Amino acid sequence: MTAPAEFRLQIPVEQHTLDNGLQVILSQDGSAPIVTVAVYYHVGMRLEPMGRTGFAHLFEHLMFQGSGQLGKMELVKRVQENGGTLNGSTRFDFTNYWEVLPKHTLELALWMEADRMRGPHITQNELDNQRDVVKNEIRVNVLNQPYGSFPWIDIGERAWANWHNSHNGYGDMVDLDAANLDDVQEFFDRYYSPANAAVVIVGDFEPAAALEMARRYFEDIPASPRPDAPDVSEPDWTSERRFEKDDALANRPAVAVSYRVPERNSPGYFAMGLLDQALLQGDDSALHQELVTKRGLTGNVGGGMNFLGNMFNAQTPLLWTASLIHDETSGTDAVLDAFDAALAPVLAWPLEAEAFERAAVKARSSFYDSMGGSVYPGFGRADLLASFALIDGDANRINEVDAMFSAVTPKLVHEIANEYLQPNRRVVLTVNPGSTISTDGA
Amino acid sequence: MVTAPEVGQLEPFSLPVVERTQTDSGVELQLVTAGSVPKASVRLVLPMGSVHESPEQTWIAQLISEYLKEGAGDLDCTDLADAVARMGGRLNVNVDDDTMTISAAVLGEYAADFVRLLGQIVREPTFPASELDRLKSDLQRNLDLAKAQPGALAAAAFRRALYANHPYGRLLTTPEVIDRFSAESSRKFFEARVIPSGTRLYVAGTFDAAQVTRAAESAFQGWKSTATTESVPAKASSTRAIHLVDRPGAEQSTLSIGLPVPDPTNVNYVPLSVTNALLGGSFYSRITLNIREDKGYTYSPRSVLGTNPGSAHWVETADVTTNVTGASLHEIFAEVNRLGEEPPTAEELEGIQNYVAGGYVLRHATPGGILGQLAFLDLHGLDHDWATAYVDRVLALSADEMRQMAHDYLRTDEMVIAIVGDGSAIREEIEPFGAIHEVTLDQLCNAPA
Repeated sequence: MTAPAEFRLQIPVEQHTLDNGLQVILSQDGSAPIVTVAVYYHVGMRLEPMGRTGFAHLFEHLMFQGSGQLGKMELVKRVQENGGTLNGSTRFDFTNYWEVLPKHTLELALWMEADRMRGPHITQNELDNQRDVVKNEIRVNVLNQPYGSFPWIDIGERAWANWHNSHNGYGDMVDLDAANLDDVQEFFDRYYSPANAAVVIVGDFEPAAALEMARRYFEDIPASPRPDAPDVSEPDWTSERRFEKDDALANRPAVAVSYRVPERNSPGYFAMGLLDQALLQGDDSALHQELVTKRGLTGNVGGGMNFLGNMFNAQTPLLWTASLIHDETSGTDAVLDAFDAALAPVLAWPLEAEAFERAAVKARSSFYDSMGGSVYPGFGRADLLASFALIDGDANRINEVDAMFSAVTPKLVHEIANEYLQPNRRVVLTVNPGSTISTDGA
Repeated sequence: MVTAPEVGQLEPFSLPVVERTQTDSGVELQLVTAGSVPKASVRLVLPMGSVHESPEQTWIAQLISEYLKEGAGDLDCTDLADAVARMGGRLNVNVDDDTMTISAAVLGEYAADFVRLLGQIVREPTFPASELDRLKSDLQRNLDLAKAQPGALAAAAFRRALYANHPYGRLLTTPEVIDRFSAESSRKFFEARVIPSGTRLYVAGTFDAAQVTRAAESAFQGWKSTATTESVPAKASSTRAIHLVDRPGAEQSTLSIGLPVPDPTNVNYVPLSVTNALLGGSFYSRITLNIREDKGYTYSPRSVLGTNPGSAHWVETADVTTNVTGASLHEIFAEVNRLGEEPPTAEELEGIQNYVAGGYVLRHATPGGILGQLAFLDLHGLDHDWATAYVDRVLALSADEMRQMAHDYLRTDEMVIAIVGDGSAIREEIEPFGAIHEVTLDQLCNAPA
């Protein structure tokens, strides 16, 4: 996958650590008159403590309810009235807050995020309100939708042995109901330390001035210890496990198949990235060709290495999962038979030169999409920089991805396929539809 | 305590430079250098959409969108998929109300290659009969899945109430209609409407413009057609009534509430867009602050202006907890009425004007955003001046004009209320808001007689 030199991408990355341990990462992009400010905290769904399921996510909501100098929703108001847009999200390994604004408002954005990093100021009413909002989020995304938890919550709960990886990160209603204001403060003190966070600025700005602003607003936030990272390791898998679940709202059966992936940043991890491209991404992929084009079992096979993002913005362990919705006329065995047929070639011999090259081009292109393809300009790059900074301690890894993919050989891909994609190292989940709403029945 | 910094002024914003040409055969070409990654977003927009479907053809445009990936010239579906993958892209064919878009985001160095392939896909589609049954099974499955999704049902009930017999009112179809589609009827439908005139090629990102222009010229060289593409203009209307799709046991009621409004060619469209942003179209909007941030009834309420050539509608959507369905309707209507009665404060007005103006800058900062804007202008026949004057028109709006927009166009006593929810649980709470028409799935799927 030798790209012509003029298309090779080198991202400017400036990394600083403030006295309180906060990482500040600057990356210029003069292609539009805007800036993105993204603040990432290294606590996500799998890192939250036991007995506090859903807390990382509930907390994300609470961070919009006010801080020392900003009232409830005032940060949202200020961003909007300055011509910007914003959001936050909770992933497996981090919680993020970001805004994209016209470039002249950079200083305001930094001031607001610094105020928020000093801590939430919220009332019982605001906690109760956001608990209701979160419950409605769970209803609209999970409880009131067919396939609402499939596969991302369902398969994690069944595949993983370690509570951190297996528990439903949206949370149990019981835990959400039990949360009080003391818990909120305790969670903040433990996880929202500057040393457990990264501030990323991407866009059209002057680096020295931006760094000076970041220091001005963030550096005197009191230091506090970084929380200990929980043990998220998993025992090896040695035999296939199959599960079934009933979904009262679904009207067609579904299947998900999950395998483990190699350790993040190892050569094998990037080989797995190429396998993902060769087997699962795009209409040319082996699974699409076998299940959709050749056997007509489904119209689409979806999946990847991270349910809540891409292969760069989560730590391992992760599942490589392929899932599909099919018809009653074909059972799980027919689907698995096709699945095995699609995977057989990569287990039997190394990818041929053309197929290998195609996977490599797709991987590079998909990486560029992660960086720039977002509808929110600058957010994709900021997300990668923050992920590399928090998970690997080095934002500049963004510039090493091309080389890591380039170093992968067909031989390594073959070895990784054989080590990881064996039937005895997979989990299969079947969804039994419970709804009678169908072409024949309604 | 560190006080908030002063914020300077928004710099004057100029639209990205668009290179506009036309191939000899009449395909319009628009090229924009943009973005910061070495990729090119390429879109070919064809003047064919579900608006061209008769009731017996409902969803044939969707079948065609799948069919186009099955073969072109001497390439079969695997060849096509492989070819686009080697360029770093994935072939997408999407159909909407008015157009069909064939697109891919390829590595910049392959932009011209993809344009050549687009020519082949449009001019030499093979519509292989061997793949028909499989594609129809996929459509049947998609139809089934849509029937189980409350959001899809609410949208269908809303559109049906607004557009009645018009194709915009038919979001769903029936198994029988799908069964009757054939390779030949697909080809006929396509060839009768896809012609050089009205076909537009857009490329944005990092690419060689001269190469792409040459590729477009050769891809469409000699393309001729005598067909003309026509559609029946939509006549939207609305009467205040509740269209209820019963979903026993539902934990939430899925709401779509709205009415027809002026389309983008109307002078009041931009003022109405700003009004919408304040009312329900942004995170810090009045309806969202009320039913989410104050009451906690819902997670993701939002209002949008849905636009088609010559018609448009305003719609507020929200999934609300079942036992506050009536309370949610009350609050939504109260917010709409309040804006129609009292002008917003100066601070609110200025804030939302800046938000909409800033959003325009952000939308022009990515290749995808730019292509979306260009396609919007072309779909509605708006010219470059409209785009250039947009920000000034947003900033020129007065508080009383905004009140007037809400008062004149967002008339709550004429709004359609579509609800997908647990009928027996909510009937009593919703009765005060209008006559209840029960809508069955069969009715949603079949065109009105």
